[in-house]
Amino acid sequence: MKSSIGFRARRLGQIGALLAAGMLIVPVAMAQDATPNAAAEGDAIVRAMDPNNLPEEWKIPAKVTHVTNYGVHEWYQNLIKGEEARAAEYGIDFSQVDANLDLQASLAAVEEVAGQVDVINFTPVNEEASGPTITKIAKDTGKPIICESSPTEGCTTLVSIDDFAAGFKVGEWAGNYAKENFDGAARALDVGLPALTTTVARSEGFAAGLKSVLPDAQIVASVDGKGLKDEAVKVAGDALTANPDVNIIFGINDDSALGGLQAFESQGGDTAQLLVVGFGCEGNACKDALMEGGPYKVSAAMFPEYQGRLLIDAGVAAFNDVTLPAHIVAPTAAVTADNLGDYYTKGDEGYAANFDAIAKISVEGEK
Amino acid sequence: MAAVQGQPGMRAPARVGGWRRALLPVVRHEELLLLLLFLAVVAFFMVVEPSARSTTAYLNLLRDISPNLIAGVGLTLLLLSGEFDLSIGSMLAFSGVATVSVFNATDSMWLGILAGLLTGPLVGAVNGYLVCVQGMNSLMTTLGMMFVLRGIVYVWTNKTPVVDENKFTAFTAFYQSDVLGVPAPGLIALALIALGHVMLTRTEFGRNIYAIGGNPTAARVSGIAVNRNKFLLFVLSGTTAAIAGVLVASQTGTGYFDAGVQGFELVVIASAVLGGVSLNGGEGTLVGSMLGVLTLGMTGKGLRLMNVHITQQLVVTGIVMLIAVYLHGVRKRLLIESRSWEE
Amino acid sequence: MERAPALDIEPTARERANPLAGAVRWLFRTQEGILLVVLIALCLLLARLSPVFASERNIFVLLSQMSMTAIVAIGMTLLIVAREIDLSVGSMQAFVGVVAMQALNATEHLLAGLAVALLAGVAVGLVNAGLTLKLKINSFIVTLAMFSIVRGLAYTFTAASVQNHHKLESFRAIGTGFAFTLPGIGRVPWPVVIAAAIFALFAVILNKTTFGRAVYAVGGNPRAAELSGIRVDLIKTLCFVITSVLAALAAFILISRMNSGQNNAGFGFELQVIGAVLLGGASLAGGQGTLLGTLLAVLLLGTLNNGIVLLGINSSWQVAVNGLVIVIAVLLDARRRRSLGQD
Repeated sequence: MKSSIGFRARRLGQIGALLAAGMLIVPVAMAQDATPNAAAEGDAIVRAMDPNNLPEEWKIPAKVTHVTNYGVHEWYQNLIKGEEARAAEYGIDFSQVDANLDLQASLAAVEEVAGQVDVINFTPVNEEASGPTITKIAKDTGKPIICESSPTEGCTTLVSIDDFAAGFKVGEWAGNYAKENFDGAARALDVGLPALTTTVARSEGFAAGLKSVLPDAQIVASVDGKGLKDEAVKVAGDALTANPDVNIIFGINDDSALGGLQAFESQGGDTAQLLVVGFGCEGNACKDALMEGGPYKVSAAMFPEYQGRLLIDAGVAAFNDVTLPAHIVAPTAAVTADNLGDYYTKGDEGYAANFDAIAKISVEGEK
Repeated sequence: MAAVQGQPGMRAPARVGGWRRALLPVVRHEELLLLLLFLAVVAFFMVVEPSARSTTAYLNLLRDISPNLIAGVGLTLLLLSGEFDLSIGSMLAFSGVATVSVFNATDSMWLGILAGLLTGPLVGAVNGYLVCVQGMNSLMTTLGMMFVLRGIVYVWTNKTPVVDENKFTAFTAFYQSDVLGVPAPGLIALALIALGHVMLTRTEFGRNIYAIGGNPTAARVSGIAVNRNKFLLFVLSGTTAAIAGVLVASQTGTGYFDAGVQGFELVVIASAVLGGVSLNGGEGTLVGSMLGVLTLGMTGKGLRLMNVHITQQLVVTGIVMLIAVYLHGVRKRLLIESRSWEE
Repeated sequence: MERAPALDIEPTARERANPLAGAVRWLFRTQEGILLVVLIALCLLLARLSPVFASERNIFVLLSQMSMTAIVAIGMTLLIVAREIDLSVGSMQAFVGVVAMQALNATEHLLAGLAVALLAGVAVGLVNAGLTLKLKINSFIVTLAMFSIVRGLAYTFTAASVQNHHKLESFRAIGTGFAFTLPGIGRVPWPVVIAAAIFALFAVILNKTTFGRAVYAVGGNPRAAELSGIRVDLIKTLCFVITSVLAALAAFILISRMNSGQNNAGFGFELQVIGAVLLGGASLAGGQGTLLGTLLAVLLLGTLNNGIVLLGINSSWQVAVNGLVIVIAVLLDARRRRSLGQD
């Protein structure tokens, strides 16, 4: 970790600033009792946290490590960026260990870091299969374990989106688009990933959202694109020859959606009569495609940078014994060429997230 | 190699001096070379990473790596006979899913464990039948079986982990438990390694394995039942993989459909080769192979402890593998040379 | 020097007199024949079950998708015949893909991008060959290490993917365009034309040139080949480089089809390719295998996967059915060999 030396040097200054800020500003009183509302209050506290304006008596965790399941994916790279930036604001020494989709390595890594850190952030390779290990470590060490992506037994809390609700949002958007542009005809291809519960929920949410607008809409085929673009091109290619009248392609992530689009194009399909719906929008590929004005018109944005920030904030709150809800819902939005600019500003180094706008997205009713 | 170790009266003559003579013990005893390599890896991480200096780190290593060690025992014996088993990664999932499914069907922990363990000899016997009776190439057959088993698991579970409805805590606690401070799964691994080592070095079965792997035709001519022995080795390889699978089920508390899918079989084979086992059969030892498993396991663990990014981990692991196997080649050439020193 | 000895059995006098009997014998007695029979049966079945299977559109989608596997499998056949293997071709799909796309973006010139891709192929091939032949490390291990190292390099090169910023028309045409129209059949996609051309080229090279005969000799009996004056290391080096360059070409077609270079492309591709080559009748013991067998095996596996998606069968079955086909093909091969009195 190249930046860790810089981290430590900056940290002293930041802690000083933090102490000064703590003395100047009167902290908000926070209820710590276990009333039924405590969890809801905890949720509100996490969402409103400000590193420069913490309650006086709060302690800052010295070290936080995130054990990721698949760190080379752009989602995790941007999530980690968000965590790093937020940790730096607190003066926390933050690091990442990645399991590269290997369950054994993932569980071993949690055990390895448990002794060295104050808060563990954890993304399971598989949530069910990680339960016993996480429960044991939580019990043995008493340290907060903040889970990301999927609910895992033993976690202090989960920070993740509501996959079904996010799928529903883009499904609804697609339904309205088909109503206006395809005379209400909607024959959708679902490029899914059946191995993960979260991605299955995305596909289900999309189908439900689509049908809420167009009850006659059909999911004509569901294929397993494994979340990879090369695989998606292949299986979507086969499915499109079997169903040449598909006019909507949904992908459980941007690679799946863009892979489906490439398969459609390579078969000489008319892209004017096609709508592509993505999920995640974590990288430049999605944002560029949206702005290009092609058939890729909407994606359920998950805002990894902002989720990274929520993860760190939840860890700091848990470290100070704030009662947290089982699930802190991270915001999602159906982003299009029209509203992408609200959430992201394009600069020289790609797109920068606009945290204030993202924080304002309502998660009412999502779980 | 086994034959060379047994040669009596091997001494280094005085005229061969310097570093080559100093290397002789290492050249003669492959395990020593591997132990030194393992210790070098450990020493490296101890120097650069403070958290690698605690005893718990190594006890945890033993626990984490126990499935590889256990499955490695059966696979090494099979490799020594000149055959392959690529289906052990899928076996990990197959036996785990069987275990937990039978838990749920019978509400009995012991029946579940028994069922999980029995998948091993069952699949091993299928592999053995296809290779030994039907005369099929083992690499291809077990490559096919790797997909067949994984596919069966996928269809069976519909790609969702099979959750233990009875919540047998005794089962899930086992993987994490310690006996006299040593991880329980590690003890099972050590016991199986000891058993395998004795079998390989002290019994006729063991000698037959080397004979078959070294030269199957000569072995057949000298009256060894080649196919029967190989069949047993397939059953053995399936069985140790099933034991590893049940342990992974204990660790995860579920029948995980994707257990071992990240190239478990390739890692175990690579560890064996790193430990001096020849893919042509007849050459290598079980202890060497197990040191290979530990060395690769320690490399992975050390890199994680150091927070080395996964992209660099991949590169470093590849390079460590190359160095280790290269050293074997050098050792072998020096061994041949050392014979001439004595003339 | 005999080519593929197991498959060149002299026809009997009766068969010579009756060409039909000879053809029937070829169909049911050779690996190629069996594959052809199974392939035709599968196509007939799918044509009955799915109305779109036999459509022009589906046939060419199917062939386009298989062309990349076929191209790499051609190189892999040479390498396996020469008794070596390359497990790094899957990781190369990622590495070459991102590097070539970056080069295309930088130069905005198709040939420059293609040249970079092929040069990357030459480089990886030379490293594989050098480590295997100069350091005398088993190529299974060398390329397993390279599988890991090359993937690591792809991850290091880019965060996720390199998008198409050059928008070259000719670039998109390579993966998704059509070369010409066959009267009565339809528009033929470029990947199919490229694969067919490479197949024809290597069929000539392998069967009609000294190099081709040397490849079989090197794999069949390296010592005899060396004694007869063949430069074994040179032949093997060429086979490694050919495989890597063809893998690079496949990667170039892939990035055109995906319209981006992805650092996670090609997972499991090496097993797909090697599975097809072995299913086609090549032996890991070297000296055996034909390009026709490889091509038929690629077609069979590709058709099977296409059929599973067309019929809307749960993708979980795909894995199991693929495995079963491999097992059955190897079983048929073993029975054929036995009936011919070969061990």
